[in-house]
Amino acid sequence: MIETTFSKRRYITSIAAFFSVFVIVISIIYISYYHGFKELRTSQLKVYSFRLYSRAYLQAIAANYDTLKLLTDYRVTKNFENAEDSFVRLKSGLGIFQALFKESWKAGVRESRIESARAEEIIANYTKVVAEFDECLNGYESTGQMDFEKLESVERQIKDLTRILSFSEANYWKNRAQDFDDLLSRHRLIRTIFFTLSTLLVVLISILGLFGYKRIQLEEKIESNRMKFIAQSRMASLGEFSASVAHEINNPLTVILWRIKMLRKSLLEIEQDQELAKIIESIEVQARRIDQIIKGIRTLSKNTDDLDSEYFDLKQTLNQLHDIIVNKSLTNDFEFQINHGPEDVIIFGKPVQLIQVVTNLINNSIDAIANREERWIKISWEQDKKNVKILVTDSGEGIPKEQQDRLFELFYSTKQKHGTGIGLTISSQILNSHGGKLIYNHHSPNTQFMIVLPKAEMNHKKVNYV
Amino acid sequence: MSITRLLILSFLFFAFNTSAESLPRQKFYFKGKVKSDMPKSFKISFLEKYPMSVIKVNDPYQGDKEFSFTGISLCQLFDLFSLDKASSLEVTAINDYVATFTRKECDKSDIYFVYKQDGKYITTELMGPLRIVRANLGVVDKLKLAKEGVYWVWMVQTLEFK
Repeated sequence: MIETTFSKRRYITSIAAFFSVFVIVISIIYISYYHGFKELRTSQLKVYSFRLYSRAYLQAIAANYDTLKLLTDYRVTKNFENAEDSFVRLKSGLGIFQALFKESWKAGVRESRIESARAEEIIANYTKVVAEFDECLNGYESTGQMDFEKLESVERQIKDLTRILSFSEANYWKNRAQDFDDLLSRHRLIRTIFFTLSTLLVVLISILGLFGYKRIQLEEKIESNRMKFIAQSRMASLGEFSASVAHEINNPLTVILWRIKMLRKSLLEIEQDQELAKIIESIEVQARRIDQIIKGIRTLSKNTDDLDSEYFDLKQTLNQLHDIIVNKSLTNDFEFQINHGPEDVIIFGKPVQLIQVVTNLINNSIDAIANREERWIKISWEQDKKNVKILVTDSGEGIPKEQQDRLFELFYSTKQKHGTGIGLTISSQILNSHGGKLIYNHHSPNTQFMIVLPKAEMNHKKVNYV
Repeated sequence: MSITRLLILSFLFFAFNTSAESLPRQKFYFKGKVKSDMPKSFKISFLEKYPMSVIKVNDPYQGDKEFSFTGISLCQLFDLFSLDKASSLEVTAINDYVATFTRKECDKSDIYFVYKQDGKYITTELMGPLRIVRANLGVVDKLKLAKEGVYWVWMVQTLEFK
């Protein structure tokens, strides 16, 4: 249930994060397009258009000055070709002015439309002057007489037109200062958008890289867990096999014990031979020892998850453990001692699991003290009103401080080669399921683990316990 | 109205229209490595003695509309008017704008010197009477026109073969 709520929360958080990033990216794209790229194109067209305007004014002014110069030449030389060239140059000024303005309108910039009204006025004046000049030339061609009065009027009009063009060009140049400043602002905005996008890109790539790294780590962990799980499965199979073997040994062993009992009774009835009685007793002791070992194996290899909880006596349960461990103490050459408390303690739970936890702690201790000169393991317990504390202490000098925090982490082991890192985690979980806990006591001068379990309610005491 | 009368009126209409289109006053100049039998200056009618090409061009200076231009290709210009040793042509417009074209690349450039648009002399308002266009470009992008337009010389005045 808790896991489902956690997954749901994580799912919602992921969606919210994704949505936020999506909104940010869309906003940036929107701003980039409308205030960046679209405006950038408009700005480019403006620059193109402004360039044409300037050229139009300056070309027309230049054409007019050329016209006036050629007219002066005509006045001096009276050569009609000069007058004709002058007219052609004036007409070219009008042509260039018209063509450049048409081209700038094509750019579709708002400023072009505003400027076009002024341009239309100039073109109208220009056309009028060109027409009057043409009339002068046509008059000369038809009569052979040049109308100098009219030509003078044309000259004056060209001068006025040139002044208007110069004024317009200057005015236009001044107005473009604001446009240029706007272009700079837009450029700053585009630059800001660029840096924002770049930063976002770097952040996103970093996050992606981090996720990739985490994924690799997780994949490695999954693979490692898989291998450990396979090893655990093999161990479980071995446990089941051991239980099966123990069961098969147990039946003939029961017969052997029963037969020994019968044999001793029969022999004692026939004759009182002390030597023979000693031998039979020795055989019986060894057979009972085999029986205890078999019981121990069966206890440890049981699949305990399916068992029901029950009320059990701590002293009796630890005595069962004694029978299992005492043989180990002989094999591994260490002193083993259980110091029972003064009073009986009843616990509600699965005794087999408690034995598994204590056995696991003892096995860890056996490995830890194997190379020490002084080798002993002691179990004791003390109780208060609510809880019982079972202390498993060995002759070691404690676990280094830097390892203490990780002791109960899954797959963390202080054993360099043979540790699986599962034992303490499972032990801790088993005790948690009993409402208790497993603690490493760093105050103890020796290596000491403390099992804390709640005592059973007193009114249950009357129930028969195992 | 009889058919004869209609024909006469039509003839008069076309005759009037043709005569209404006056020859542009502008003069053009040959310079440099020009064939010896060529004049130093000429009016636009001079070109009409030679075989001209008619090409369709989307004119970027007239709203990208397609027009039929009459004129002479750059290669033809070299072949007809220049000496063989002329390797380039410097074109100067009435406003002293200059553009240079090479003989070597004349066939690739699709450049034409045109003087008629849809059968009529090109006026100064339309950048005439002699202007340069490039064929087979389609519609030119507004922003690309700045660079492309460098070769579209308006109001050509002088042709100098070098």
